Amino acid sequence: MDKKSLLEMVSARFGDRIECGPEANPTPFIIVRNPQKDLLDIVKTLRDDSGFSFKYLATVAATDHPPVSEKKGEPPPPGPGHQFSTAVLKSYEHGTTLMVKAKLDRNNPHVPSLAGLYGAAIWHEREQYDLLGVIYDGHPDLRRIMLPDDWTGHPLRKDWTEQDNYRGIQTTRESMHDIFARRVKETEGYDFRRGGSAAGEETAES
Amino acid sequence: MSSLVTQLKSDEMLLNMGPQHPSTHGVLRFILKTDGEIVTACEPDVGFLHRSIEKICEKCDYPGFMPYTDRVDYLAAMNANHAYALAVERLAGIEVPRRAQVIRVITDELNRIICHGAIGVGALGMDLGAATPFLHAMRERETVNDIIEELCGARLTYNYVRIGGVWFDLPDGFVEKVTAFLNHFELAWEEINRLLTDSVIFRTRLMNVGTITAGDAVSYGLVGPVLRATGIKRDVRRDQPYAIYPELEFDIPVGTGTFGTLGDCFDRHLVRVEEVRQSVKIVRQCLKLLEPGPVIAKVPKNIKPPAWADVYSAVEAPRGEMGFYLMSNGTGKAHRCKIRTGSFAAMSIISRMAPGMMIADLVAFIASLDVVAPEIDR
Repeated sequence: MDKKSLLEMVSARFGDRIECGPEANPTPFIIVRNPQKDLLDIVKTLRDDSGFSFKYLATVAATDHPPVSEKKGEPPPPGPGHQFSTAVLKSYEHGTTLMVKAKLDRNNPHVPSLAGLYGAAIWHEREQYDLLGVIYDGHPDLRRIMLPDDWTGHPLRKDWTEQDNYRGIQTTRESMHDIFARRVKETEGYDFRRGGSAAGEETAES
Repeated sequence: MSSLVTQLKSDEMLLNMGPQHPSTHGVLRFILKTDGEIVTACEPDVGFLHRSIEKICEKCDYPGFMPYTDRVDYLAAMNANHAYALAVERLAGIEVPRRAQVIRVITDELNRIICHGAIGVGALGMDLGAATPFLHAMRERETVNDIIEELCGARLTYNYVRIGGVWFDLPDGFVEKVTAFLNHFELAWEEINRLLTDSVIFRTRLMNVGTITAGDAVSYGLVGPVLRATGIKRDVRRDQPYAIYPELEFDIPVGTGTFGTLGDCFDRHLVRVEEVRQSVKIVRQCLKLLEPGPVIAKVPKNIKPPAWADVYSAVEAPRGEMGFYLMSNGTGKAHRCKIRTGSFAAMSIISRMAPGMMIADLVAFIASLDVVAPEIDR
């Protein structure tokens, strides 16, 4: 099944509950207009309907789009000030891949969890919560998975800044480039052959 | 703090397996709640090797991220290279020359042979106490490492595949060396296999242990040999083909449950043993398909895919489907990269399967899943 017929089939089935992505996109995607209400229902239909049979959840990938001032000549991001939670569904019977996106408010990113439909979602959603801070409602075990429990912030967010230290261990350090530049500046005017500042030497001689 | 710690009853014991444990193949930790020798709950604790490769991808340009993909799965770096290159090519619409595609398949399958041979099958034996077959397999692996070192200069982290092709053309005598290796390896593989598969102790340790049902395997998104051992015939190379796989003839081995239960540890072992034979067959076919030609397409220095396009593309790595989700933002750097690996999915099912197992069986179960720690944590 090619991309076009898949998107036509999906949009015929769900009507205006979803918004289809552009056909030129390398992997076809749909955006669920009201994820709180419809997401679980739509994904369940995609999984169980034999016409789609998306039995396999490949991954859940969230993306972060901070609010930006629009630049000239560049296309604007799909949702400034929003996050997307993208579930990648695959069907081996039909050899198709479909991404189901949910658009979330960046300051309050709540989305229903797919853990009830796919066991794979438990860990994938935990990872997205850990790294991007998306909160999956109804998830059985929403904890950090990669980072320690007392870590602050979600590192894959675009505006995340590293905390200075973690339990007394310094996490940031000067880059080698900066250290070198600082050392050059410190030794400016220092005469290595005579072992003193060039200016000081002159006064001693005179 | 794990919830297991607070819910402990008086006759139960909390056991820490790892982070440094010989059977975990890297830095992995399992928190076990045991009643005598029987595991009543198990919680994998991952993240010790988390290097945030996905964040690094947002800071690198597209070609510059290639060496990092080696470190996702250092035992099958060629497949990870290929997965990333394929994702960027699909995103930017780059066509790969035919000779480069054939070379990619040859190196992929050589990598699969040594990965399954030395780690998937050999290290499984070693975890159960049979060190000899592992060392035999490592000897074979050295030959492939030498061949690939001649090709690209590296033995483990190859960094060989480029966006739009491969880095170098094949060196002189490559085809002869690979053919000589395969002729030798086919016999050696049967010998290694006899040492393991025909051993009664090895069989008894694996049969009817850690049986994963087909329903669980699909729900938990298991991939690769672990999924195929449950009797489901799914392979990215066949279902969503890439490179020149549609032209090649090979079988997809699935678990049969002839010796134990369908989907037990022994089935997973047998699937890997058979996959190595199929890989040998694929390499032999590819060597005949080599025709002179360019090995890399004309790719612009700064690859700039169309803005806000996103792609999910996957290849069949030794540990199953390895997929890259990439989102572009119109510049030379990716907006978001998500790496989906087989080991991550396989780890997530352990807490479901472990209750009721003996501790020694848990070691066999983890080894038969063939998880690699850096691939879980990335």
